[in-house]
Amino acid sequence: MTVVVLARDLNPTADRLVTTLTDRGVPVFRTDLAALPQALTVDARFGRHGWDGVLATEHREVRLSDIHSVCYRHPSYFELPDGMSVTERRHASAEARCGFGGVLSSLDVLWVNHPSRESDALKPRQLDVARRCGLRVPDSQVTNRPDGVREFAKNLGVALACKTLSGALRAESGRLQMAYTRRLEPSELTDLDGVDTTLHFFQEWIGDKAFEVRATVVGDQVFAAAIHANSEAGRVDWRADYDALTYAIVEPPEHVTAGMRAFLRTFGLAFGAFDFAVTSDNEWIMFECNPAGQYGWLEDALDLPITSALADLLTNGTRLCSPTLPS
Amino acid sequence: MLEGDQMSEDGTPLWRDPLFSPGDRFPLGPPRGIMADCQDGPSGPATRPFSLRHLVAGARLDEVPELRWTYCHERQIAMVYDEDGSLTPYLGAHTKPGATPGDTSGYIGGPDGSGPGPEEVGDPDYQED
Repeated sequence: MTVVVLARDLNPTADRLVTTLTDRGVPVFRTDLAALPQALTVDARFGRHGWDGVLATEHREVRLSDIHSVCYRHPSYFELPDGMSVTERRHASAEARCGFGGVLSSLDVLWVNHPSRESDALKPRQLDVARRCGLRVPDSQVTNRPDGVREFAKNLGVALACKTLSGALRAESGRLQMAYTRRLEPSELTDLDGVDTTLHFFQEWIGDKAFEVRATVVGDQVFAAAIHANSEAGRVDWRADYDALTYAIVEPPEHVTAGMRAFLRTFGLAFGAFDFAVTSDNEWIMFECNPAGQYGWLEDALDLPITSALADLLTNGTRLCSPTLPS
Repeated sequence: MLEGDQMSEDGTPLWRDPLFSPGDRFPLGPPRGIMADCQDGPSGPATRPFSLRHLVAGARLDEVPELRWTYCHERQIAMVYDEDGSLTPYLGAHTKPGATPGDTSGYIGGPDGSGPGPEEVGDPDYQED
């Protein structure tokens, strides 16, 4: 009974999980996919009982039939031998991906999370699934029509939030750059140049926001942290000003907890980090769920046993059923 | 070309190649180093996406604080070198969501321990937030 951890070598979140599992005596096989094919060998064979075989490094190995669960946490990509031609690299990369992914995907084990399930959880689809699961979400728009943005804002009668659909970190001009959530004032709607260059994501601005919440769901367990921002930048996007944040454990309303669990079941996810705005009337409005969200800084700040819960899940959890969409 | 950064002939990373999309069967993380060569600046108002206005600039890609570390195969965790050369687990540092530019806590250093790997801070498609 082994837990496989797929993560980069430098990943403190994975380090903490591996240490917790190891301290409990749970066998762990950790590797980064960059190890394949040069430092990780795969010998998988299909027979009457399905796939079996061995993943091995110079330091340890695991039989596929001994794998109980897989923790997938931002591994890197295959590192192929130097000297390959472009065609050879394309071929080798595709073969490695289909072979490794195909074999591991076929195992009857719990994934936290399966990368294909994570890929399904695109923000626009999240909003629809959340709505079906009884969670309130902001009115939202995906468009490349500047006039459409103005119409959306006019109909809502409130300011807009401009967000990215695909993560916020960029690199440009040799620097890291963050595209934080931005509040769009009505006066800014006169100049929407660039909206037509690609699709853009706008949401109603939640003006009555009292605080925000990062709720980390591990299996059925919910660890919710209120995030209070004490600066203007932090109130718009708490990622923009960590020094101005304070945290507190908070209990979500029952329907929100049920909604988060249904949301994860729908996507076939076993873990998710949900972001909410909470109004002064205690209405919880879900912004998004990150299937591989960070939790270590909240675990430390509030002494939340999230790593322990994740270790429990990986040790005792069972494979999730195929995702289905609620009616 | 950086280690692990497999490029097509036109310079497009293979993981972005539509013919070899990692997302079609088993999405995997992008190769290391994908952000290290992003030296281009904004294109101009006619082609600049609206959502990239007001980016908040952070650390230079070549000036991320150095961290000397190695991977302990016995414990299967990263270890950092102290000033006296001893090794301690790198368990304390955690990436904060959206990794504020310049705040590289949690992901510092390249895969070989030789220097910073800014792509480790996070990346646009597999953002840990």
